[in-house]
Amino acid sequence: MAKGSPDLAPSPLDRIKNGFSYLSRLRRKPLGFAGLIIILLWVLISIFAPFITPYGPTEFSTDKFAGPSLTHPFGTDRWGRDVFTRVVVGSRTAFTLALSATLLGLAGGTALGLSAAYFGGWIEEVLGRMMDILMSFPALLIAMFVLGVLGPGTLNVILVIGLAHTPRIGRVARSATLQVKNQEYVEAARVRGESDFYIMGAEILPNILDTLGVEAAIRFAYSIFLSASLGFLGLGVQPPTADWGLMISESRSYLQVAPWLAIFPALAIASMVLGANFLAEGLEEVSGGEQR
Amino acid sequence: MKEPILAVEDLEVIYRTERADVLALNSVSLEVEPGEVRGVVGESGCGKSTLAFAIMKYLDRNGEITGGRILFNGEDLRDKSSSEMESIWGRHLGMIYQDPTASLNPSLPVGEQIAEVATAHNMASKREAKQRAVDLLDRVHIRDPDEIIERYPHELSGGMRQRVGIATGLMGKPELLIMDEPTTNLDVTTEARILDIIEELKEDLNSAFLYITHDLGVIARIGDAVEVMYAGEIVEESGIAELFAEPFHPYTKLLLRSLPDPEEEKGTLQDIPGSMVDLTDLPEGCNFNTRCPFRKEECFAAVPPLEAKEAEHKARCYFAPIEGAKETVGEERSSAIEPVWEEPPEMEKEGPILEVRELKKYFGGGGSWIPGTGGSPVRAVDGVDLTLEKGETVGVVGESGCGKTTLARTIIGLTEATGGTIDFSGQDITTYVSRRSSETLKRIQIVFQDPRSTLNPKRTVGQAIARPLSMHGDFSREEIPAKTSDLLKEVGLDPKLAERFPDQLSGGQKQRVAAARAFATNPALVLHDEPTSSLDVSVQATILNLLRDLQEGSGTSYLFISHDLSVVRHISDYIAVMYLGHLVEFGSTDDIFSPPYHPYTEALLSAIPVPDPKIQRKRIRLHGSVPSAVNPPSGCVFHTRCPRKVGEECEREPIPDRKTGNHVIRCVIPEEELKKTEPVLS
Repeated sequence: MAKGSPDLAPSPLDRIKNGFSYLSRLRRKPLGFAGLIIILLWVLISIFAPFITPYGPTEFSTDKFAGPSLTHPFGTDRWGRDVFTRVVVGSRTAFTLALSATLLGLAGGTALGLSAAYFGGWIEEVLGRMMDILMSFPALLIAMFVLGVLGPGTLNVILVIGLAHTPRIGRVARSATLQVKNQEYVEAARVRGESDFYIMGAEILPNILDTLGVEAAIRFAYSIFLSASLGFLGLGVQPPTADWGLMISESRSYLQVAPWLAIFPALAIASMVLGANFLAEGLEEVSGGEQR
Repeated sequence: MKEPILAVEDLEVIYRTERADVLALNSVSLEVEPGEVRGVVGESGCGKSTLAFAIMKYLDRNGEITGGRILFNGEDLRDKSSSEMESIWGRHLGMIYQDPTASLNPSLPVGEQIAEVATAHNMASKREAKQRAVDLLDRVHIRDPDEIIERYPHELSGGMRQRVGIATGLMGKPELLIMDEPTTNLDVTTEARILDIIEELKEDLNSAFLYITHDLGVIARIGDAVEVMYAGEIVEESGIAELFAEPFHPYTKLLLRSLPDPEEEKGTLQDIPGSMVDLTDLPEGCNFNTRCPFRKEECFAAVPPLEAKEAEHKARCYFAPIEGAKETVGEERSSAIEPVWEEPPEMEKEGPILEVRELKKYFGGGGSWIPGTGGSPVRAVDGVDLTLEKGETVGVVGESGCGKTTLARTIIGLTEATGGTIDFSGQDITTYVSRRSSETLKRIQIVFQDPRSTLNPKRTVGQAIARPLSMHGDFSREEIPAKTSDLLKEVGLDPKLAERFPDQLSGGQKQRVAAARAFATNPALVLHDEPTSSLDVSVQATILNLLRDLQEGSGTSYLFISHDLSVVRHISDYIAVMYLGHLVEFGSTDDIFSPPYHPYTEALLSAIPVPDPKIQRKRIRLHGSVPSAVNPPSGCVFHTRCPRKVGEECEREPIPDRKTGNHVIRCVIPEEELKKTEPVLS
């Protein structure tokens, strides 16, 4: 195909600058900005987890069911493990699961939705019906079914959540592509003799990224929620890993005596889900405003 | 002198945006008297629509009237509350918009919408209002108004909808009717009918009209007096005859010179250097001093006042009237430019570059596998023959829906032909673009219509031009940036623009980049699909000149598609006139513009608004609307609307081709008789 060189791409520095100017526009959207701050806080917490946690996540102690105090800010569980440490370390589990699952769903959904819309015809019909079938089952139901067959575990949870996201992201990618694919610059690329792969990747994809970014933020929030649900049902990450869903599940029997066991992981889930949703809303406003 | 119905005094409007406050109108004053059509003319961004909405007190939320008075019937509209305005809108002050689709409610029959104006203002009972609606539709020459009032907007054609819009505007018998580009979205033949109607109304009613348009030809046709606006200010105010006889302000002068005149032959157009000033960054002194070829030191000192230079003729210029109205102004244009490529394009084989035979493109129909859902196809292009020689330009004109764009898309291979052949320098290329050889791809290029979507918003100008160079050129990686700069210089752009993204460019600059991209592969044939139709006239002139210069430098052939006969005349050697998928006339530019004419060409020519109010032309008006291409009329496709229909032989195949040399007219009327036709343009 291309005999000579690739194009004159903007330098990586330019791309970073563009990215920052995009995020900096969020500052004018209070809700979106709050979401960004919450998510950034969680990112910092999970990166520096080993430095801010006073104990190990699976470190036992004799201090069982201790209420929140200076030594154990969120109290301890029935093995005497520090709940604060487990909530902080749990954010790593949550990020690992949710980010990988979202990226997986984003990759699958974008590939399917983009090619369905681009090629049209029977390809679109077949892919479209497949996505419809997948979407007609609640995500949690599919997840429980697949995990029942595959067995629980971190990798399987990621796969299952990614699979559940695929049709939804696919639908968004498809409608975004439909808006772009008949633009004159896409036709100019076809007239130039570009391959379908190039047109999809280099001409269309960059122009639907804004839309996909918003969808990714929503899916991320949903991933947190879904992975916590699966953890709660015992289908997700297995003990003794610090996982918020699992922690709530384990706390069920002791809600009367040690409510802090459920409250703090629940607050963590709620704040991360809300933060991601706020961020999604902000991103939507910012990218919508861009089109004028 | 009559008492003016509307007197705007020193009106000032500011738009508040995130970046800065924009002064959209700066001390604008004008008066409209009963029974007159006052035009407001200017290019996009000059503030003419803001003026209309400010008078209606219907500005966008971020717009604010910050000064001046709007005296309507002697009362200042600025003091009116919004509920008071509601009783004025429609009843005393009407407005007709550019896009009738947006102003009509899609879920109500049009009759009800027209009648609503009267019932809402308690002017008439429901029954009376309905009767008046029927009368008004009849007034605007809608046939069978009794039936039409029951229809919904989507069931009407664009021209019909605009007539409904005018009827709605007239329903309240307003003293002043503001019209904002009411014919801009319409075809010329439809536009001519609407302008006839407005002219008639002006004579019959004693209403006043404020007519806003970018088209000097339209205002010459129906205006009595005119305001020319530039950068939020009125720069010239004059009677129509005086303005077109001798424009005083340099801007008006240049604007008139930049119009492609339908009476003038192929040649270089005068353009206005530079682009419209940024309203957030106005120059010191006269707003036009950045582009004015007559500027002197005084022009940079202070804003000149709008002064009466003659009795009823004002201009905002220290030196107006500038001498030498009809002479060429501005600097001498550089003639043919150097080609970018070291070697001239290799010689094509002798014979035509492009030969299209019996080309057909049908959409849909018959293709479905569910029985009974196929139906008849849309015959967008139905048997077109066209030959294009090396270095020549063939213009294709026709109104919307005639198939001209489909013709271009089929030739370039974006859609596959249903029948017929396309030969490109002797080779059959009748296939989809992805199945053409890389050599063919390289040699045929296209420039599209819409500057907003022609460039990928996520790629820089440099990337857009470098890609075809690296794909089809034999350039090493190191050479490409230099070649990109050369191409940018070639199309009259600063090579520094290579780093910019499309949203940082103006519409004209984007079309220049699109031209550079098309010329990057040194093509033998470039198709132009309405490349200037969404640009302002002064920018259009620069683009047309650029395309001519590029052609002179490279010997490329052009197929130039446009709805605008004046534009086509300026760039073409030959012209093909298209109607409903068929070519009805083909000939050299002179042949097309002088008799004998095909009756359709004659109607098209007589519909062009000419920027000269003295010219009185034949009026040939087409009735009805273009028939559906699913079921086109038998025989001559034009027979349903033809003003010169002979009889039944028009409805039967075959329709003879009347040939004289290269000039072909497909018509039943014998050549001798066609030759006797009076010329439309003198």
